[in-house]
Amino acid sequence: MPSSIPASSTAEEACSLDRFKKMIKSFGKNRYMAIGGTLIAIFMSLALFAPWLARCDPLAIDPVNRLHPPSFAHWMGTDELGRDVYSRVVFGSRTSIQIGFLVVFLSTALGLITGLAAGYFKRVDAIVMRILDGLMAFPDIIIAVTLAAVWGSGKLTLVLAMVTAYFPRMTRTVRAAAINVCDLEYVESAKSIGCTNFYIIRQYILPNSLSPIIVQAAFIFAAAVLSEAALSFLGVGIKPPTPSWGGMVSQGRTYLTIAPWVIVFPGIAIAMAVLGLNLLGDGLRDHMDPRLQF
Amino acid sequence: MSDKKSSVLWVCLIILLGCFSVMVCTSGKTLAQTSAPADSDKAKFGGTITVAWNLAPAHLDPNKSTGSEYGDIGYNIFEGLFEPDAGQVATPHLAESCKVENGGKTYLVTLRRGVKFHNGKEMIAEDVIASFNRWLTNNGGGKMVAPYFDSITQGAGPYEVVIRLKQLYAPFLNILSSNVANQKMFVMPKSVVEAAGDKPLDNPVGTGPYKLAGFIPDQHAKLVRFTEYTPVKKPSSFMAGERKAYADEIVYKFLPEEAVRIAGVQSGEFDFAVQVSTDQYKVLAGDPKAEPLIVPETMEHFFIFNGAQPPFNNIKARQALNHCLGIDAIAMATSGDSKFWVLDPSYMIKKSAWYTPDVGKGVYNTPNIEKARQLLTESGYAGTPVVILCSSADTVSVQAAQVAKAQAEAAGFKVDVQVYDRPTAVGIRSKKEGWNIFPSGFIASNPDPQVFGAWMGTNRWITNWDDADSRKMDAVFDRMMVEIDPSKRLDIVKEWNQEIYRTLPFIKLHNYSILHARAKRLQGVEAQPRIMFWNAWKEKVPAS
Amino acid sequence: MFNFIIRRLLLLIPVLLVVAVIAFLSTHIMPGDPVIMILGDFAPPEKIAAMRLQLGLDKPLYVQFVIWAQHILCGDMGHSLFLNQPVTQAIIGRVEPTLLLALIGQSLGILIGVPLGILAAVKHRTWIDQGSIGISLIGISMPSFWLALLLIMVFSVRLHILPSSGYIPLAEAGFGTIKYLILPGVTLGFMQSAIIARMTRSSMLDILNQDYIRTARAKGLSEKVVVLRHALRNALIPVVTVIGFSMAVLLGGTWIVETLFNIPGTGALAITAIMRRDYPIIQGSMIFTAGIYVLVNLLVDISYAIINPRIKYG
Repeated sequence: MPSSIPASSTAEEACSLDRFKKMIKSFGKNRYMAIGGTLIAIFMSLALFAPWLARCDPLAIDPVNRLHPPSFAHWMGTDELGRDVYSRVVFGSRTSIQIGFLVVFLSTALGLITGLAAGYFKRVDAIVMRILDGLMAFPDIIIAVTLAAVWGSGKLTLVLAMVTAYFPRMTRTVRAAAINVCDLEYVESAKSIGCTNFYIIRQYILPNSLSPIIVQAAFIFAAAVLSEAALSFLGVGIKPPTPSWGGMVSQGRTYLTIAPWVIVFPGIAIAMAVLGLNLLGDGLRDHMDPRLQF
Repeated sequence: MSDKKSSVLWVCLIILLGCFSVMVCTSGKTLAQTSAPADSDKAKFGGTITVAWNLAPAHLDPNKSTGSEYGDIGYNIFEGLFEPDAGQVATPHLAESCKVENGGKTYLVTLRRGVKFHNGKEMIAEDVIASFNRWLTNNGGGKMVAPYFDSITQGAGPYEVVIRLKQLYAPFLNILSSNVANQKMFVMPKSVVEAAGDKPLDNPVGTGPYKLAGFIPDQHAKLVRFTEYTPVKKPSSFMAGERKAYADEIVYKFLPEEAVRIAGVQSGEFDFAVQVSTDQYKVLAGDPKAEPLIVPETMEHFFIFNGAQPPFNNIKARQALNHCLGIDAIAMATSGDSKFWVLDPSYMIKKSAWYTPDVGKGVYNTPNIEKARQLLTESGYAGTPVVILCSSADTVSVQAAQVAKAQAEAAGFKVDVQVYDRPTAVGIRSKKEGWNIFPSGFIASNPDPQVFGAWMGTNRWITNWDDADSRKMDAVFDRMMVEIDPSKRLDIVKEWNQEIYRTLPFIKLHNYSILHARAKRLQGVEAQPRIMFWNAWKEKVPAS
Repeated sequence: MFNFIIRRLLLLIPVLLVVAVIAFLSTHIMPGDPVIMILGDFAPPEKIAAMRLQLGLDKPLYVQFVIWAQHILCGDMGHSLFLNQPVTQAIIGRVEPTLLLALIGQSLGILIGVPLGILAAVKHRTWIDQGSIGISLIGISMPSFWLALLLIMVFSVRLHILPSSGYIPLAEAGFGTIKYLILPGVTLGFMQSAIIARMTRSSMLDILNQDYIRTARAKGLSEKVVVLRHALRNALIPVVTVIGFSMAVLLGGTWIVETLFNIPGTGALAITAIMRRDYPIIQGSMIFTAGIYVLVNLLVDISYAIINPRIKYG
C-alpha cells in the first residue's frame, strides 16, 4: 500500500522514519517482545563477547578445586573437573546459538521449499505430506545416533538430526499459510490474468506466509536449544570438553544435590534463552497480526 | 501499571528458583534413632529387600555373557562347587572336599549330600558333569580352561567327580570359583542344562538360597526364599560359608538413572542402590534414612593403547604419554576425595596373594613434561590427533580422558576425546583403526592374575598388540599358568608386572572405591566387590 | 469426504512400507553391534561369530532385508534380541502405561491450559494475561528431565508423598497405579499446558476480534455468555488440532520422562532398544510411531476441512 503513494524522497524518508518510530513504540508497548528481545540481546552478546566476558579458560581443568560453590573467584562455582562454570555458561551460549541458527536456517529453507510445493501445487501435496508423516515418526535420537556413525558425533550431526526432526513443522506452517492464501480472491484473479506460478508465490504467498514462518522459526530455535539438552541426556550431544548448556545440565545432573550450581546456572541459561525466544515469537505473532494491533 | 506487568514474569522465575532452594536446603537435622542391636536371629527373618540396580540384563544365564549384570542376580540362584572367601581363596561350597592328585593334574571332588535344586531334585555327579561341560564351551572362563582340560567323569558313586587336566593349570580352582567376568562354574540340574543347550537359560534353576519368581527384562527380577536350601555349616566369608535367606523376597529393579536410584533410597522405597557417584557420599552420610557403603579398591582404571596404529605402535610415544599423566589429578577428577582412591602400581590389590607393590618404579605416575616432549619428538609423532574413545555411560573414563587431554596437550600431543553411546564405542574399538586410546575400568579384586591373560598379550581383546614384546608377554603368562609353587609363581607375577611397565601396552591409573547407597534399616550387606543380599536383613520398623 | 478418508487410509500402506524400509536401513547403518551387547565386553571372537550366525546377522544386508521384508509382509515384526519376546507382543505390552501417562498428562494439560488461555485472552494485555503466559512459558522453557528430577527431589525425597519411580499395571494395582503416574504426568502436563494455553489464547484472541462477537456484545449479551458460548466453541477447534498432534507425540512415547521414572512404556522401550541395538524392536517401534502419526495427521486434516469449509479434499 505505501508503495502506491507517489511521493518525493523527503516525504518518503519522513514516512519511513515515522513508521520506524511507530514500530519502536509498539515494541515498547509489547511487553513480550521487550522482555524477549532483551533476553535474546543478552544471549547474543554473551556469545559475541564470550572471550571478553569469560573470566577463565572454559576448558581449564583444576581437579583440586572441583565442585566448589560460587565464590568471588568463580562466580558460579566450579564443576566436577574444577572448571569455571561461569566461563562455561558464557562460552556455552556460542554452541547454542550456532546450533540454533543452523537448525533454523536449514529447516526454514527446507520447510519453505516443501511447504510451498505442497500448499500451492495440489498434486504434490499428498506425496510430500505422506513422506513428512513418515519422517516425523523418526525420533531425532535415532537420526543423531545414525549420523554420528557417518560423521562422528558433533555439532553438524546434532544440527542435521534436529533439522530432520523439525523441518516438517515448518513445512506444515508454510503449507497451511499457502493453502489459506491460495483460496483468496486476489490469488485467483492473479491466476486468471496469467501470472506465472513463481510470480504468484513470490508476490502473494510468500509475504503472507512470512509472519507465521518467523514465529515458527523462533519456536524452532527454542526447541533446538532444548533438544540439545535432551540429546546430551542420552549421551549423543556435543562432545566434551566443548562447553554446551545441554551438556552441562545433563552431565551435571548427578551433582544436583551436592553441587546444584553445576546444573542450576546452565539450566537457567537454557530456560532464559528459550523463554526469550518464545516471548519474541509470541510478541511477533501479536505484532504482525493486524487484527490484534491497537 | 507497566511495572506490575513485567514483574509478574520475573516473579514466576523466582518461584522456579524457590523450588530449587526447597530441594537444596537439607532437612537432615533429624538424627536417626539408633535401634537396639539385633536381638535373636529369628527376628531378622521376613520382609522384602528392594534393590535399585544400574544395569539390566537380557537374561539370567551367567555363562552367556561376561557383563557383570548377568551374574549378580544369578549369585542368589546358583552356587559353585567352590566359592571365594574374603581372602579370594577358593573354598569348597557345593563340594564337600577336594583332593588334588597326580602332581596337580587330577582333582577328586566329593560333593555335599542332600543338596536340593529349586526343582526339588538332589544334586548328584551327573548334574555337575553336565554343568561343567556346558561351562567349558559357553563360558569365557571355561574357554580359557579348555586347552588344559582332559576329562570329567563320575568317581566312586554319585557324589564324586574326577576332573583330569592335560597339563598343569595353576589357577584352576580359582577360575571355578571366580567372582569376575562371570567365570564361575555354577552347578545346574542336568535336565535344565540339556534343555538350554548353547542358548541362554530360559528357566534358571540352581541350588542357591533364593529362587527366581519372576523376571521382566528392563523392569525387575523377583527372587523368593528357597525353603529347602541346605547351607554350608561354616561361618560366612564373602561368597563362601553359610548363606542365610533372611528376607522373604529380593526384588531387583533396573534403574539406569543414578539420581533416581538415590532418590528411592532417600524416600524409603528402596533398601539399596548400587553404584552411585562417590561425590554423593556427603549427601548419603547426612541423610536420616540412608547410609553410604564404600567398597574400597573395587576397580582399577586403565588407558589401553591401540597397538596397531601410529603413534602408539611406537613404544616411545607410549612412554611419552605415560610421562604426561599426573595420575593424582586424574584420580581426583574422577573419584573426588582421596579417601576413595589409591595410587598403586600393582595389578593385583593389597589383600591378594599376588600383590606386587615394588613394580613400576620410575614409570608409574611420573609426570615429566620435558621427558615427555623429548620422547615424543624421538617417536617421530606427526601431530595427527590422538583419539581417546569413551562410552558416554562410563563417566569415570570420560572425565579421565578430559584430564589426560589437558595433560597430554601440554607436552605436544594433539588429543581428540570422542564420546559415543556404548554400542557405538564398542563397535569402533573392535576395529583396528579409528581410535588410539580406550580408557576402561576393571574389577581390581581378582582371585588370580589369570584373568589379565584375556587382554594382555598378542592380539588379545582390543589391544592389537603384536610384536616381539607381546609374544614375550604370552610366554610369561604361559609359565604363570603352569607354575603351582606359590613363591616361584609370585616371581613370575612380578616379572609380568615389570614387563608391562617396560613395554607399556597400557597404562594403569588409580584404584578406586565404589559407593553404594544403603537404607539404614537394611543390615548385614557386606562391602565386597560383589554385592549380595543373603545374610542381609531388614530391621523391623516399630509401628508408629 | 468419505472418498478422501478411504484414500488416505489406503495411503497409510505405502507410508508404512517406506517407514519400514527406512527403519530397516537406518538400524543396520547405525554403528554398534547387538551381539557384543548381549555377550559382554570380553566375549571371544568365535562366540561372537556363532551368535551372529544364530541371529542371521552374518548374511549380506540385502539378504537380511529380503528375509525381513517377507516376514513384515506377513505381519511378523520379528523377535527381540534381548527381551525373549516377539516385537508385537513387546510393544503391545508397553502400550498401557504410555496410554495412561498420555491421558493423564494431556488431561492435566487441558485442565490447566484451556482455562489459562481463556483467561489470558479475555484479560488481554493485563497482568493476568502476562502472568498466565509467563507461567506457561516457563513450562516449555525447561528441559523436561530437569523438571522431572526437581519433582522427584521435592515430592519423593523431601516430602515422601509419592513414589519416585516405577509402575504397577492396572490389573495388579487398580487405582494404585495412579500414584506412580502423578509425577511423570505432572511433568508432561506442565509442558502440555503451556502449549495448549498459548494456542487457546491466540485463537481466542482471533475470535474475540471477529465481527460476530462484537455483534453479540452489542446485543447486550453478558460477557460470560459471549466468551463461553460464542467465542470458546469456535476458538476450540484449532486447540483440538494441537491437542491431537501432541497426543500423537505422547502416544509415541515420551522417552525422557519414561526413562527417568522407570515407566515401562513404548518410549522407554524404543530408547533402550536403541541404546543396545535391538534391531527388531527399534524397527517395530518406528513403524508403530509412524502409524500413530499418520492416523493423527489424517484426523487433523479432516478437522482442517471442518474448520475451514473453503478447503476441499476431493
